[in-house]
Amino acid sequence: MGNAPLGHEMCGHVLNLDLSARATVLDQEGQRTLKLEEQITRLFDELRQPIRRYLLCLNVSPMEAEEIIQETFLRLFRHLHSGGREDNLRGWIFRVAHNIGINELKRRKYLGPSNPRQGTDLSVWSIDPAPNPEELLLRKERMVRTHEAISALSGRQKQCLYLRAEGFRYREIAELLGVTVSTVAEMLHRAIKNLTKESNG
Amino acid sequence: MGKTAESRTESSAGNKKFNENPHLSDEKLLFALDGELAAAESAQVKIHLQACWSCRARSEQIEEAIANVVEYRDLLATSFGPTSTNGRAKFVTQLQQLSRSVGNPTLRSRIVGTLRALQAFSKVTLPRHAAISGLVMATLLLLLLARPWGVRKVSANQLLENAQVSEVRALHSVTRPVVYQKLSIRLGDEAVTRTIYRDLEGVRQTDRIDISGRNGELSKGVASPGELQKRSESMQSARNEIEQTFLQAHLNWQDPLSAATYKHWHNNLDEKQDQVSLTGNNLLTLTTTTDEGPIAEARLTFRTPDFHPIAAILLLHDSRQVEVTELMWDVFPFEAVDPAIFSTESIRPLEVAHSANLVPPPSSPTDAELAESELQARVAIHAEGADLGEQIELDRDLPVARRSSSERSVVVRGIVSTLERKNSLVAALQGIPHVQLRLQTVEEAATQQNVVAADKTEGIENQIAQEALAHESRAISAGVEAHPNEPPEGPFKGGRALEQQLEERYPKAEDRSAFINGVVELVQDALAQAWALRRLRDHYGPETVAQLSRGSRQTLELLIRDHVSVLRQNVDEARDMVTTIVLPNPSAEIPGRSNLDAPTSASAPVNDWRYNVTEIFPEVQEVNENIAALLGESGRTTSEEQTLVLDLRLTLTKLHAQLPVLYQHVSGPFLSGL
Repeated sequence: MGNAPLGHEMCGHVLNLDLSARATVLDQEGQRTLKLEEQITRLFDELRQPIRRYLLCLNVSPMEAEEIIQETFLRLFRHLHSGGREDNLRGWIFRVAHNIGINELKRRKYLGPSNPRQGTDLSVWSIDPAPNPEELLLRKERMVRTHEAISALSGRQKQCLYLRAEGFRYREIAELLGVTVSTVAEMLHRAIKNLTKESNG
Repeated sequence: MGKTAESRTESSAGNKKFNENPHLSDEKLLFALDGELAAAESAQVKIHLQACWSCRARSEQIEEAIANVVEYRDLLATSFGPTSTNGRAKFVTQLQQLSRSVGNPTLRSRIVGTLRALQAFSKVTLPRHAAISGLVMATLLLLLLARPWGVRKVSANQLLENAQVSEVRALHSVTRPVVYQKLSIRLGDEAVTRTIYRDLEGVRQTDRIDISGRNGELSKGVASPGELQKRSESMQSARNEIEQTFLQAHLNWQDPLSAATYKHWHNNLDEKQDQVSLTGNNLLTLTTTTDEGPIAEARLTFRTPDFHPIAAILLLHDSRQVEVTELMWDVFPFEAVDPAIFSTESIRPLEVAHSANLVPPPSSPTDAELAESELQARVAIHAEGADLGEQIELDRDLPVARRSSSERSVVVRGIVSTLERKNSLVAALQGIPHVQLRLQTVEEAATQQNVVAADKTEGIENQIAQEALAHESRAISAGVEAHPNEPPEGPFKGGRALEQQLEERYPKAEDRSAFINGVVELVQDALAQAWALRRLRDHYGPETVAQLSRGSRQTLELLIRDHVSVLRQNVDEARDMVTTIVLPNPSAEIPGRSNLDAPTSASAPVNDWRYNVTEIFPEVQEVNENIAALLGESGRTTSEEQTLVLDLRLTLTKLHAQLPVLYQHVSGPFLSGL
């Protein structure tokens, strides 16, 4: 458990592809948009799972998450098409998805009590079969405790936590959520404090 | 064991530090793990961890917690099943469609892209000086080809700023300027021509709207009177539609083509994309695209010499298009303009020369016209958020203290906090016919200075200022009753049970007061909305509504709907917040349940917004008072607290049931459909 599998897997790859892709974007009149489309589709394939995971953690329903992802990447197309900035596209994409997601949640809240989303019922979770039943039980217990601890966190704390888990640095999270770096640090510190307390107790 | 000896020398070096603060904080451990510490600090932590088992153990706990989060997250995500397989196919299709519809990348994106590509290229392969000279040459070449002089450098805000500065300059060229503007506004096949005279000093505006038919052709009076009448009606509705569109997009209908109006809309968008491009000879076009509000894309075209806006195109999300084109614009000194223009008498002959009059020109305003003006003023005030507790009043039928003493008008008067606020309100209200402004800042009112045009009687202004001040002081003393709950400052002091609950949930004092302030703010805003609704209820009885045109009734509907919708949202949010903290009390629950159904079922069948507002207002007030008592005061017994909580929950639940009913009622054409 020493080295936590944080979601760094995506970072480097995505950031490198824009300049080379952009150079080819300029090839020929007809090919330009085609290349941009390719670039967007590639980003879509790479980031679709992490964004979906993030949105689901924020309590967005799977169907909504799917729609938000589509909308986000269509916006990305418009953004790049009109010559928008290309540095840190991953951050841009997460920010847009986050904002649409949060608005969606607000709207849902405003529309009145909706049926709570399925899936937080831990008993139905399919936890991978472990080598022995005892280990399975321990793991389940650990997950229940984590679930309780995370549920008690504030919305902001959760957002910071899950964004950190997606491999974003504090500065990037701050930019993404429109808060200061020290706020992010504070949120994460408090979240982790609650989580360590929970796993000890 | 050799290692121990080594670390001993290390730790003795840092022993002083150890003694001051023997262990690392959890915060520091986390930041070190996350690589968020400066190099020197990070090295210190590393050394300390090598030496200190207890800190190392805590560091491992943190890592364990992180691992749990990641495991939990993955489990949560997989519990919803895999992503849908047709999701990708659907996206690719949508992307292709979008790509086809927008065409090739814009010139600007191409230039930016080329520059970036060149930069990247030169970094890798060329020596520095060659790269720089290559880049310079390529840039020159591009500039030569594309000739975007001064275009790429201008941002949207700069451009709008320039336009405003230029306008101010033009206005300052004459004393007592009067702006004359003639516009053609087109929606689909229908078009209207507007002639606006704006006396900036006296903040007066006359506005003539003529309706022309297809392709901008003015109807020349060849049709039979019946036909003309019919045509007039259909075009009147087109005009209303255009006006509605402006209203919904929070665009100033009184000033439809100006940098200020565009800027106001533009700066209120959270997400937007701007593009400035050269369009034709000496023309610049600013294009803003957004997903917010009814407007999908807006284009404002300026003349380059003086940045004067001459045309605007609004593409709506429902694929309709509004075009505003300036036919004429000029600034005259007041003396050069026939003063009768502003008394609305002689405007008729002036206009008849140009167009057939399908709409009667404004004469001395009738009750209906005054009602329309009043409503427009209310909408403008609402758009500025000034109908939520600021000391601003609207009165009708006060004679205007001007030359044409017989003229009646709608008077907007009141006191606002700052000069900026006053200016923004004046701008919003500018040009609504028959509206007189008597707005003063607190400072102005206090020093009894006159701010309005010199040709108005001072005595009356003073009198109004005094009245307004008296009104304000009345309002302040009344406000004690209405807003008894100033957000508590300093540490929270409440009843015992509640305090304990809050302390458990929010161990930090600042979180607690943030929660309390949040609830208090929500209910205060709810109360402001309820007040605004009540004022509308008082003003718009059936007779007044009957005076309004269909378009205006729709506007009034919009206004009411807006207030109800925010009120409902506030109440729901407050209810959510209150229920999280005020846990159900078993003894209190029983009487509550039995009381709940009665009022809801009683109020549900009454489909009258005024009746509903009457019912809802005291309840919102009660919620406000209960929250104030509960969160703001101390020294209550537990049973007193329980009663308060019970009352609060009852009222909130009642409102929660009533507001959707009202909202549904006001969502339809409840006034315009009559």
